[in-house]
Amino acid sequence: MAELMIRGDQVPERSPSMAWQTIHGETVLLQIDGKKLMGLNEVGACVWDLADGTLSIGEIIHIVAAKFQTPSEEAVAVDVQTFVGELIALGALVWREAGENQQSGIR
Amino acid sequence: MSATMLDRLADRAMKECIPLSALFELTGRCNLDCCHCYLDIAHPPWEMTTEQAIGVVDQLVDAGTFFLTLTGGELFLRKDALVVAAHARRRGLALRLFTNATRITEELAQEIARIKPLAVEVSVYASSSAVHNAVTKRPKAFRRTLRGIVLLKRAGVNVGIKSPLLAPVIGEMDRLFELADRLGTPMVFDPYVTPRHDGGLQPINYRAQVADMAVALAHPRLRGSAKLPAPPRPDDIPCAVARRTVRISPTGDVFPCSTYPRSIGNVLKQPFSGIWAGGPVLDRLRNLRIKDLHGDCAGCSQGGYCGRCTAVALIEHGDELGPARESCRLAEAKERALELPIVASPRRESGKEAHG
Repeated sequence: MAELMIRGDQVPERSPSMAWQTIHGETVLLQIDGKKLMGLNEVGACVWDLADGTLSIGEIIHIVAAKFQTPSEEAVAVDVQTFVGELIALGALVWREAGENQQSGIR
Repeated sequence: MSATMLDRLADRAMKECIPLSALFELTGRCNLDCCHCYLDIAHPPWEMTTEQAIGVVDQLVDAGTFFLTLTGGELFLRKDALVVAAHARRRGLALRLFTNATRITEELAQEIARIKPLAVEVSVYASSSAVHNAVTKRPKAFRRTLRGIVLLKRAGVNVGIKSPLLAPVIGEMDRLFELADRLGTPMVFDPYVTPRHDGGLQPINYRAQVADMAVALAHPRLRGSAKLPAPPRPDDIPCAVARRTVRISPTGDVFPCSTYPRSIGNVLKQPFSGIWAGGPVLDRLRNLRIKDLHGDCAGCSQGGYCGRCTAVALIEHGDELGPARESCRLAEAKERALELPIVASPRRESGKEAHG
């Protein structure tokens, strides 16, 4: 259960190993190394867009809940944490360490 | 890469005219002088600034580009090439870099690795210096290119080697595959040699004979399906020109594919979105269907595998609706290749019994 291991103050950011594009509302991700292509639904695309290394999981959950006008932020939290956990496991997202400067080659 | 999803994306780009793949020439300068080059390197154009190039990348992202190729001339004659490349990656683009690799140093290779391009593609025309240096007209090109490839590989960059199937290259195929195997890179051959962007026909003097192309295409490592595709339907779109591909020149001129010679606007003078939205040339090209082709193309049985190029038809024959004779030659070579016996590749297939 990936979501149980994720804290609200953790900050996800897009891995430098990913390419992505949103074309007429459809977001696709491409893993550069494995050449794996995947598609995201609207909520997933929103989370991906927000995971720019500046927002914590808690903040992302709050924004997603507001954008999609969900009655329960708790349900959104589970979905976002699960989704982020899956992308972390795939290597598409990485955790930004506290106080970390943007150091990768493309940041 | 997931073929189904990529195919779906490509189909959608074709239908909705999204410039999914962009070729961005950052410079027309080159330190080599390849005999078949589509550029006039003796008269390179002026080049847009770094800020302008970054602005072009941003506009391509906004238009839906996903696959961006940065090229030249020789890309790394521009000192800011990696600044533009890094920006493209920050914006999420899947990036390819075309280079002759002669200027790659250990430090530059490591910088490229940090950017994580999808691939760096390097042209190599032979497995030894004599042919490669003759094609590039530079005495030290082969050694420098090979060194660059090795440095890129050591830095962990995805490197691909490629070559057009020029007449001088065909005899080198087996040795080029061996070289690629030793370097640990894929090797790709492009059978289509195009004229120069300015309409110059010098490159076509280096095209191979059909019989030699057939032998090359019958190579065990190139040989495809045993059956050639059926002709397209009358309402099919002939090619990706003006729909899925775009080329930007060093001066900001926008072209509807990598080869089409007529500019449809300049991205430094008006927004790319406005240029790509339509105009006389784009509208005409986008409305093209197979049934509109004429001359020998009308009802041609080779239409499914000739790889007909609208741009080459225009440049070489002055008629974008007619046949591109190079495509006819390629179709013939593909047919002949199927009739040739399958011969074992000397390296990969060693120890296996040859067929036919």
